[in-house]
Amino acid sequence: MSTPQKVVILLRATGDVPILKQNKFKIDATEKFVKVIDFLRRQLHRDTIFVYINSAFSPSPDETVADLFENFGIDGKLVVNYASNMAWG
Amino acid sequence: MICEERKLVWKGAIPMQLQLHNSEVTTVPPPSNFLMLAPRNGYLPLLLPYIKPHFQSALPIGQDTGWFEYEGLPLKWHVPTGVLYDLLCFEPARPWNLMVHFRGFPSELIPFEGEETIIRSFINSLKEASYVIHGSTKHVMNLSQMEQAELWRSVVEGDIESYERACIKLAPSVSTNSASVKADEMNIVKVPFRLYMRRVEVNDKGFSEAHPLKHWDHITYISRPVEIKREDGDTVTLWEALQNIAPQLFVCASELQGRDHTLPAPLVWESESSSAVATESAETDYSRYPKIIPITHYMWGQKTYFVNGLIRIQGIEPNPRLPVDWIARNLSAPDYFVHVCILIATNHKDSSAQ
Repeated sequence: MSTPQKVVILLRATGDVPILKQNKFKIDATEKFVKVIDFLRRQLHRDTIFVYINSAFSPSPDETVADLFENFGIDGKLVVNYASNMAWG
Repeated sequence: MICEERKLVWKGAIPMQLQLHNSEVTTVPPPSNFLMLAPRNGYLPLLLPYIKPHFQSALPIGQDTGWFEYEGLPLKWHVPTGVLYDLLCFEPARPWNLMVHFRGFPSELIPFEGEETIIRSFINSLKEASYVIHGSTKHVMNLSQMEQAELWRSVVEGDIESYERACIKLAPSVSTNSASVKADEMNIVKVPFRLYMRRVEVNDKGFSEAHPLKHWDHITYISRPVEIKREDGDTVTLWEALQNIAPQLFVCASELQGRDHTLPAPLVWESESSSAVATESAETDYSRYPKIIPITHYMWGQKTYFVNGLIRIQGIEPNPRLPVDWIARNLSAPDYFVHVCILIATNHKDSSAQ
């Protein structure tokens, strides 16, 4: 397996949620997905946001970024969609 | 046709004894404990409607969400009840003594806002599993609101017949008998596994009185698709899958040489390869290792390996030679994930480094 130490997260806004200037960031592969959710909450100043992988599903906050990247990463990146309401259930 | 094993797994339940936490008791005498059977495949908050009326009159004024605690650890509501039990309750206790709270929801847990929150968590877990199995979530997305509701009701009620009916759309490979479907579409090649790993201390009497888990950070959590067939067409066994995902669970016999601490003594595996094992065992005197836990060892290539701990799926310590495919079909949870609890035996020095 060749999970890098840091994983590139590509953020994509969905619906009427603000588009962040910084749409790409690196995160330690060992971090849990909850870190990504917290980052988005802080950036968007919202308590509730909906976060998805590949416009498909919300992973459990316990999952590691490494596992998500390995299982669902595309072209060396992990695509994370965020929305202010339930975009994909 | 639902096989017997799967039916039995769905009937699996844990006897629980619930005590209202002292800080929330406002009556003298305090309310009695509450006993109930909790389905393994369910989620703890689903039990609250049965539990709350029993404690209601003793609660202080105010409103809050119910939550559960085991030996000081708040329990994650999105992990199936059976997984929590297998992972945290080292010696299966009957009943399982839990503390219930209705105030002060801990910030370390994902906020819980009623049954809708669990449904969303369950459906997303199902979607993730579907993504692993089929490469997309369309089978779940194509379910109508009513079909989703029916699926959820079958999980809440532990009703496998209606669950299987509701799942037909999720598993086209099972429901389609048509020969026109290509062979590669008929076979699910990957199954989703979730592993929960913790270290448990051993001493010369075996696993010591399991120290309660103090924090969820001490659980290693792995989510990984497992292929059910090797490239050469052979079925992948549980032991092969785990060898890839959790190599630390296995100790090569050659590494045991010269180590005299609390490593397990082998129990010879009765199988077709037992003669091969016996040959190797004859060369190596395993008897000088203190007997800690009954342990299995395996031939892999020219090497013998030991499983240094316990594997639990749905409360069962499965034969590691079982094919992954069989395990997925019979022991998976309603969210299609195979939840595997792994307790790795560790000596005192290792565990203090946690």
